[in-house]
Amino acid sequence: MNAYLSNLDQIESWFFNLAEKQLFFLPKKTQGVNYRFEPIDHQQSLDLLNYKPTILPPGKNIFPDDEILFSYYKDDDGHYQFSQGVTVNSQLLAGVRACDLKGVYLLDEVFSDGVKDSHYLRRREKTDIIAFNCMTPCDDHCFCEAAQSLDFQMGADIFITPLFSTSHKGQANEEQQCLLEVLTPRGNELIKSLESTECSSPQDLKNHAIASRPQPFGRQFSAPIEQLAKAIHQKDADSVYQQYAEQCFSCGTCNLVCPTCYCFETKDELNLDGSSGKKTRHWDACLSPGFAEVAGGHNFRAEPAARQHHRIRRKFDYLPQRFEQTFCTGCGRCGRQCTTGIDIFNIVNDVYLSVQESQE
Amino acid sequence: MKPKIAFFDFASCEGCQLALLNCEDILLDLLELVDLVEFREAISEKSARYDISFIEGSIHREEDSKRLLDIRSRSQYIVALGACACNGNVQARSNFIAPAENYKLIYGEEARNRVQVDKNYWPLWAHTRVRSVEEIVKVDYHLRGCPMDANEFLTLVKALLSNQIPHFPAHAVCVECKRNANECVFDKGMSCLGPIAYGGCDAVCINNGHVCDACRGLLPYANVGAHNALMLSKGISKEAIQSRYRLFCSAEKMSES
Repeated sequence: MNAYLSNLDQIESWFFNLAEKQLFFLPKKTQGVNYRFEPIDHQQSLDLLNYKPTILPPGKNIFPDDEILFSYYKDDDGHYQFSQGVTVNSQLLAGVRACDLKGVYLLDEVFSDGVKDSHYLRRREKTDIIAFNCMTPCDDHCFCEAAQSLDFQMGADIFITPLFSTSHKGQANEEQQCLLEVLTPRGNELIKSLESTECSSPQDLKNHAIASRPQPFGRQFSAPIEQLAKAIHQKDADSVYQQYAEQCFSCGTCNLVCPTCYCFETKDELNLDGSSGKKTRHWDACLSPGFAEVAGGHNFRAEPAARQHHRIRRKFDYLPQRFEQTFCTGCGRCGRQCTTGIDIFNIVNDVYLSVQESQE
Repeated sequence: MKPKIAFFDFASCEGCQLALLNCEDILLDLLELVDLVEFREAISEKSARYDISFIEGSIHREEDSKRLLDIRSRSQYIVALGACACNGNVQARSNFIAPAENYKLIYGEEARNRVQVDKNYWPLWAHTRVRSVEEIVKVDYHLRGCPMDANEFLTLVKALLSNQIPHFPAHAVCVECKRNANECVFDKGMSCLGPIAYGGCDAVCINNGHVCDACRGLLPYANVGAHNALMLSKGISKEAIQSRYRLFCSAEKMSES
């Protein structure tokens, strides 16, 4: 596929241009310290280089909460009529970081596995992604390199790499060159309206930009991720999980903000007329005490330590066994947003160290 | 036959009943399906049996608990409506103060002295403890919050009318803040009881720029120890934390600790 060169000024006009044709989401600063993917707004300045990962990952735009799966009513002849979901509009997610792109890629894998999830997939088909490569770690919580999601570009239609030092502030936008790699036919359509020049040696430019990044990039685990996964698989390390469980509120924030958590519950909502209604699905959280409660009231993971253990094994053991990818992208959201300060990075490291110690 | 529904109020502001009257768009449809037999805010009519009795308010005096026992014996379902009925609400703060001291705080020293020689001086004197409905009778369902949430009210009524078990998940307010992509209250430099409080309110206070004071009560699994440590780490004094804990959830868990 082709590659192009353009500057931030031109990219900004291009975004506004694209936003006139379709629903266009871009990270936008809240009134406080966080960011959210929101419809682009003309007052907004592009903050692609330094924005901190959004409260919710962009994948939630494809897997929304309270999604209607189907609705039904009784017609005049007394027959039930069903209709599937709601009309899905095409959308464009821009400024998606590599970690979140990997999150979307993993959701794609999960929802296409076995019985395909048509609700997710029909939204995904109508979602274009313009991703943005990171040149500096977004903040102290980031560990994307260690989690192997830095430079991840599968699933994007266009992947942008800045070719200048992002720590150098005050540089005019038009001097800030970016490399745009077009990865899909859809990306080819999108890039037509960008003012740019074609690039003949994209790989050299990209390699040079990547080489100028800080090393190591973000936090690093005590051992390579494969070894951590092995330790998590081999040993239960109950005392580590227990120690973190003691601080845990079981609120499920870590699950709800995770780019790879996809569990949901379904709900039947009957209308007052008693003959029409809908079935909806809602994000669920395995840290929530009711998650593993079954008919009759038995709870398979009634203790918070068991739930914490389960979460870590889902990310580093169970799902990697099935999909051959770590299901933690290192975006740092769960640690950043946990009110009591539990960080998956620390849990995983501690489990590894405790397994090491027990083997000595 | 339409199910008979009744509303009874005890010590409360009757704001929950008003919250229901505010649902004008569905009220008429609802009234098609049920027979409203007692509702002081709107009508007065009596019945011997009730299918669903909604109890609003906390229970203070002996005569109130007798009345409540009578309602229970005549009702198929008892629903505690709103924070007063579910956990005593703000009035239960008086449970932390000796009755005489409380009386002095409210009515002055002279009244306190007089009541000590004449126990009939003020009938409210007869109450020593503010109680939730559940402390006296079996409660089938709780509609939490100050005021109760009209959507939850509808969920409950629709489920009971169609012979289903209504489902109110016991999750923290944090869940709804995430669903709404809210900026965390702690990130805004304020403090919040959301991590230990019953959600179900759609985090309405935080959506509108406020904090959570746990009007829906403490979750059964609330990690109060961790929350206390979190509040202390934000530089909040022990006294301020305790006062905050007691604002709404006094009758539930904090009275034990």
